[in-house]
Amino acid sequence: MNLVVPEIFFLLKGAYYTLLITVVSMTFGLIIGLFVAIARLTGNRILVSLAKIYVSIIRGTPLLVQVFIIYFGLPDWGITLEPLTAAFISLSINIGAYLSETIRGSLLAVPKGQMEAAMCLGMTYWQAMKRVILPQAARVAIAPMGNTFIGMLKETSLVSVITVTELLRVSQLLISKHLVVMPFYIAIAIMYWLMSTMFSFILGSIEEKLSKSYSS
Amino acid sequence: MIKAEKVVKRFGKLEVLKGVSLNIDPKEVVVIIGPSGSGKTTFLRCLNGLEKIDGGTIQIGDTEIDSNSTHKEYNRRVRELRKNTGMVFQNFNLFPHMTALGNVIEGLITVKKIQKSEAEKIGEKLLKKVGLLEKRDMYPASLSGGQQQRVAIARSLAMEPKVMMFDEPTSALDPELVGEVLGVMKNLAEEGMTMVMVSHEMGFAKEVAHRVIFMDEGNIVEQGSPSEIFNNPTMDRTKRFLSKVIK
Repeated sequence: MNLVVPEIFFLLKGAYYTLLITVVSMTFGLIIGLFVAIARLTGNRILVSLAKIYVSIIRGTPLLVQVFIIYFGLPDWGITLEPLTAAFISLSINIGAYLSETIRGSLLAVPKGQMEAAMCLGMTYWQAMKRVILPQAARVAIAPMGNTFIGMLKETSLVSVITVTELLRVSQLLISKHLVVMPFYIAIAIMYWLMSTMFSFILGSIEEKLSKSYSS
Repeated sequence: MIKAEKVVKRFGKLEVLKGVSLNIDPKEVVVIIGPSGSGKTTFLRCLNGLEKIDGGTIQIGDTEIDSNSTHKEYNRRVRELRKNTGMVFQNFNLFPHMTALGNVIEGLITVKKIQKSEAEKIGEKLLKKVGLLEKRDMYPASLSGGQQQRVAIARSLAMEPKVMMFDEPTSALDPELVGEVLGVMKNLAEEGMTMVMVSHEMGFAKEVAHRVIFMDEGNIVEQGSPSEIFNNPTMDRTKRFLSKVIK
C-alpha cells in the first residue's frame, strides 16, 4: 500500500491508456463490424467472400500474433507505426471481426417484414437501415457487444508487449523500479475489475433503457 | 391507375405467375381471391416492387416498371412507384420501437422531410381517422391486433398514396377484431381510394368490392362483379373453390 499510493498517478495514467485503447478500438471496431456485417448480408459474391475471409483469419489467429504483425512485421514493408497507433489498428481490426458476427446475427434477428414495411413507405435501403433495422438490431446486439467490450478492456493488456504504457505495462515498470511484485499486480487487478464492473453497470442500464422503449 | 401486362414471376424453377394481366381503374376496389399457392399474394407484392418481376410490365400512375430494365433503373422506378402506393401487411409490420404516432409520422419525416411538429399534426389527424387518437403514445406491443392493423393503415395513408394494397389484412386477427379493420377499409373505399386487396373476407368483397378476381396456379381464372363471381361463377375451378370457402 505504501508503495502503491505514491505511484497512483502513474497507475491512473496507465488506466487512462487502457480505457482510451478500449474505447477507440471499440468505436472503430464497431464501424468495421457494421460494414462487414452489411457487406456479408447484402454484398455481391466478391464482397461476401472478402468479408468471410477477414472474419475467418482474425478469429482463427491469436490477437498477440496480429499485434506483432502490425507492429513488428509491417516495418519490413516500410510501414512503421507508433506503439499506440499499432495498438489502435490491430485491436480495431480484431474487434471488428468479432463484432461483425454479433451485428450480422442481430440484423438477421429483425423480421424481414420490417425492411419491407420501411421500403413500402418509400425509404431507401440506408434510411430503412438507420431508422428501422439498426435500432431493433441494437437491442439484440447490446448484451453480446457489452461482453465483447469488457473482454476488450482486459485484452488491451496484450499491447503492453509493444511498449504501450497501459495498465499492465505501467505495473511492470513500477515492479522493476521498486523490485516488489505483488502490490502492483494486485493494484492493477483491482483497477481492471473496477473498470469492468463500471462498464457492466453502464451497459446494463443501456440495455434496460432499450428494452423499455418497446412497451408503454 | 394500375396496368399490369403479362407479369411473370419465378422462384427458382417454379413459375408462380404465368403472365398475369390486369387493369384497375381509379377509385376501383378490387379483391383478389384464390387458394393458397395461387400466386395472389405474389402478384400483389410484384405490384409494388417487393418482388422483382421476371417478365412483363407494371404501370402505376405515370411510373412503369419493366422486367427488361437494368437493375439500377428498375430499383429507381420501384422507388418512384412506391410514392403512389401504400401497403398493408398480414402481420402489420409496425415498427416496434416507435409509438403509434411515431409509426404514422415516420415516412413523413424520413421520406417526405416534413418538420416533426407538422408531421405530428398530420399523424394525429390520421390516427383520429382510424379511431385511435387516444393510443398515440402506445407502443405496438401494447395494442391489439386490430388496433395495430389500423395504425398500419394510418401509416400508409400518411404518404398520400393513390393506391392502397392490402395483403390479407385480417388473416392474422382474432375474429372479433376483424370488423374494426374492415370498417376502416370500407370508409376508405367510400372516400374513393383505389384499393387492391388479397383476402378471404367474402362478406367484405360482396359489400365493398367493384370487382372480384379469382386466381389459381399463377393465372387469373375468372373475374367479374361480386355477384357474378359469387352467385354465377362460370369456371369449374371457381365453383369448386367457392364451394369450399362459402358454407
